[in-house]
Amino acid sequence: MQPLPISPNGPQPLPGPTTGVRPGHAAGGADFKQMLDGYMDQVNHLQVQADKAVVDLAAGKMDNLHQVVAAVNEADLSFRLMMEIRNKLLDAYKEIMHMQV
Amino acid sequence: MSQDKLFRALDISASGLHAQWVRMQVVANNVANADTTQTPEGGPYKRRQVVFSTLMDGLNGVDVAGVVPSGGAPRMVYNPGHPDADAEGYVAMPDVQMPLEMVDMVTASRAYQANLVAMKNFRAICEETLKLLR
Amino acid sequence: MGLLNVDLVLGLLNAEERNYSVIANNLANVDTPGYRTMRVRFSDELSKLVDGRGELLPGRSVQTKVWRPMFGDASLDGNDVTLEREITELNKNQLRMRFYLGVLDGRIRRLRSAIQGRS
Repeated sequence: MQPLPISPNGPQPLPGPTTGVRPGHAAGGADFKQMLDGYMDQVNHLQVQADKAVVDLAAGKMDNLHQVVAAVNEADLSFRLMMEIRNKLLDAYKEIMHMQV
Repeated sequence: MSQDKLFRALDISASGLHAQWVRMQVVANNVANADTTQTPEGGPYKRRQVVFSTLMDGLNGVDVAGVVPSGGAPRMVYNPGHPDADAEGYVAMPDVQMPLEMVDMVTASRAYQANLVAMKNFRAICEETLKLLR
Repeated sequence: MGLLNVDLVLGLLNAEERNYSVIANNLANVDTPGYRTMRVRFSDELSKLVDGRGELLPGRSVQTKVWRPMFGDASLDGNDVTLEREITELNKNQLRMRFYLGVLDGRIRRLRSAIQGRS
């Protein structure tokens, strides 16, 4: 089974559902994929912001600590949440694959 | 690296510490010279006080603007046997009054400690904030 | 997202360590006649070393140089080291180091959780 690909260029979108999708449900599947892609973009964006905040602090452009710490935390937590979502999805996928039809 | 504004509260407290430090030294000097009758400029020791200043535009801590004579007249004390006595037997003594100096010393120490507390407190708050990164 | 984008943070930590040594040297010379306080600063503006994502540009690293701020309150013998200033600088130095270490810590944890697949 394919683990979620995380490359140095950033997390890649999950492979979308490819089998057993009836026309009436295709839209739902696409929305779900879009939602995940959107979420991963957001995680990326938060990470970039946190990295920029770190540089700003080092360069003397920040006048307080809490904004930077909040930015780093936000990026961190959203990443961890994404990992949890990924893990849950994999668990669900495994369960489905093991179901007797 | 040191000139940035991130931990400016520390610089502000540090300037306060320095100001009170200088003040304590001035008081110590006044006390040490309370009976000094001879100076290179002639005449007895003149009591000095410290002058503080700051810029009101923004948060700039405190500067020691200078250490200046208080401008008091010398105390004339009758002591004919003294080497510096004048024709009438009076000696010009410094215008230092011990009770005033003691009060100043206590005030300066308390102010110094208050600045120290402010500094330690700010540092502790920053460390608490940084714990959020764990 | 750079998973282990630590070169910048390591460079910043090194810079702070150098600043720490300089502060120690200042304190050691608090009574040396003519001694002027030294500080460490970045050789290049940090914003020029990083790309739009806040990561170090290829081939660039964090460089520092030592300089003398020449504070205006030197004593008669030319020494301008004061305990309050050095202790303040030390406090800032330690707080910044703790911050960088916290960021580094988070990045390592993130890489570990990505490798293991489970946080």
